[in-house]
Amino acid sequence: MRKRLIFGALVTSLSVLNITSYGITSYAADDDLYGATPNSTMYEIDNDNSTSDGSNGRSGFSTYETYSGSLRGDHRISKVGGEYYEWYPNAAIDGGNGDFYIHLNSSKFVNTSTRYEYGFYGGPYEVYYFDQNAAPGGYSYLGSVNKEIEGSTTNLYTSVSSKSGTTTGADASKVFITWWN
Amino acid sequence: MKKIGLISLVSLSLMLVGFFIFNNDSTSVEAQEESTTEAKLTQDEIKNKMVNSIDYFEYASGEFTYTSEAAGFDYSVSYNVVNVPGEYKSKVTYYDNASQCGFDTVFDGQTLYDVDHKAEYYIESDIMAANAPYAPEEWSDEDKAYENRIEPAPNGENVYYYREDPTYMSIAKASLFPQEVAFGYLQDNNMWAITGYEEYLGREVAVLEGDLNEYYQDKTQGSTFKMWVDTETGILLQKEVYNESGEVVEKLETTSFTLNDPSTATYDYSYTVPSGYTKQDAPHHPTN
Repeated sequence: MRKRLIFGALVTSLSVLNITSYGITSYAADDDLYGATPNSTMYEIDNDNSTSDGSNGRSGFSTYETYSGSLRGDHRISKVGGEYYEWYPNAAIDGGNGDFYIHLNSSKFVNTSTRYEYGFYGGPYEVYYFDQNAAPGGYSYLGSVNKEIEGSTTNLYTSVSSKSGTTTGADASKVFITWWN
Repeated sequence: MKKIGLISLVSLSLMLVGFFIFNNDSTSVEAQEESTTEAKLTQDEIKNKMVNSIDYFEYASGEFTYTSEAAGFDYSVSYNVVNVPGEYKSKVTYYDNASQCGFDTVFDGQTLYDVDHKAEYYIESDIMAANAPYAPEEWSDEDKAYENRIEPAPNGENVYYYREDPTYMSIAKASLFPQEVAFGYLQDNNMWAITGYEEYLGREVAVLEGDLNEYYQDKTQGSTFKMWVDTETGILLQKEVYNESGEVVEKLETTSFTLNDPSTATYDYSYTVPSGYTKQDAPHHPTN
C-alpha cells in the first residue's frame, strides 16, 4: 500500500494543526499492519532554513528576496530553466508516511506549471505540477507518499524545478511524517 | 369589480416593494438574474466539479492559449490526455511566445519526461518503477468536497488540499483540472455569481463573473474576472481577467476541444529526448 488511505486528507490536515491529539490517534489503526507503535512529527522547512527542522539544497535559485507575505519574511526565485531548490526535513525513517505541503504567498511566483517532487530518496516519490500563478497564498497539500519498512532508514525531500521564461518561486515546505517503531 | 381592483392594487404594491428591494441590494439583483438564467448548477456545485474534474472525463485533447501581461507569459498549449485507471498517459507541448521558450511534458504510462528546450535540459522520472505498485491516492466523497479542502491555519492563512493528477498533464491542468483557480478565485461566493449559460465549442458552459480579492489584484493587475466552465466536467474552457478600464490583462482561451473520444488513447505518447540535452540529476542528497 503506497498511499495511506485509512483516514484521508481531512484527518491528515487536522493532524498538522494538532499533532499530539490527532497525529498518533489517526494512525493507531495501523498498529496491526506494522506491529509497531506509530509516531508522528511535523517538520516545517523554510528557504535558507535556520531551524532544527531541516535544511536546503539548491542549484541556482540565487536570487534571495525579503517579503512579508512569505514564510519568515523571505523566499528565493529563479528566472531560468534547469535549476532546482530542495527542502530536507531533519528525519530519516525506515518505513512510514509523509504528507507533503508547500507554501507560497508572493505575486512574483508566476510559473503556471511548477514541477514539485516529493517523497523518499530512491523512491517512492511523486511529481506534482502546480500553478503558482493561479494558486491562492498559504500552504498547499500536494500529496502523501508511503514507504514500506525495508530495514534501513531513508531521508525525505521536497524539491521544486525552475523553467525558462518565467519566475519560479521557492518559499517553504512542510512535511508531516508518521513512522513506526 | 371591487374585488378585482383590490387584488390589482395589492399586486401592484408587492411589485413596487420588490422593485425597491432589488434596486437597493446589488446581491439580490444578481440572484434574480441568476434565477432567470435557469440556474442548473449552484455555486458550490460548480466549485466541487472544478476541484474534482478528473472524476468526470476519461479522454481529452485540445489546444488553448494562456496569456498574462503581469506575469509576462504568452503560451500556446496542445494536449492529449488519457485519464483511465491503469492507462494514464499525457502528452503536452507548449510554447511561450513571449520568451520564445518551448516545452514538452510527456507521460508514456511508465516514464515522465519534462523537457525545457530553451535550457536544453530535461528531467526523466520512472514514475511507475519508483512507486510500484502505483495507484492514485484515494479520496472519499467527503474529503473531495470543496468546503472540506480549505482549512484555516493558526497564522491566519488557509491550507488548501489538492488532489493529485495521475496523468501528469502539466500546464494543461490550468484548463482540465483547475483546482488552483477554483480555490483562489472562487473561494468567497459573495464575490462572484453565475450569470448565464452558453455553448462553447459544442459544450454547455456556465458563465461566472466576479471581483478579484487583493491578492489577485496585485498578482494580475486586474480587478474583475469572467470564466466559462464546462457544466458536465468542471473543466475551465476560458478565463479572462480585466483591469479597471475593462481591458483583458490575463486570458486562457480554449481553441479546440475534444472530450471522451477513445481514439485519444491511440495517440503516440512515446518520447525521445533531443540529443545533447542535459539530464537534471535531482533530487540531490541532504547536505546536513
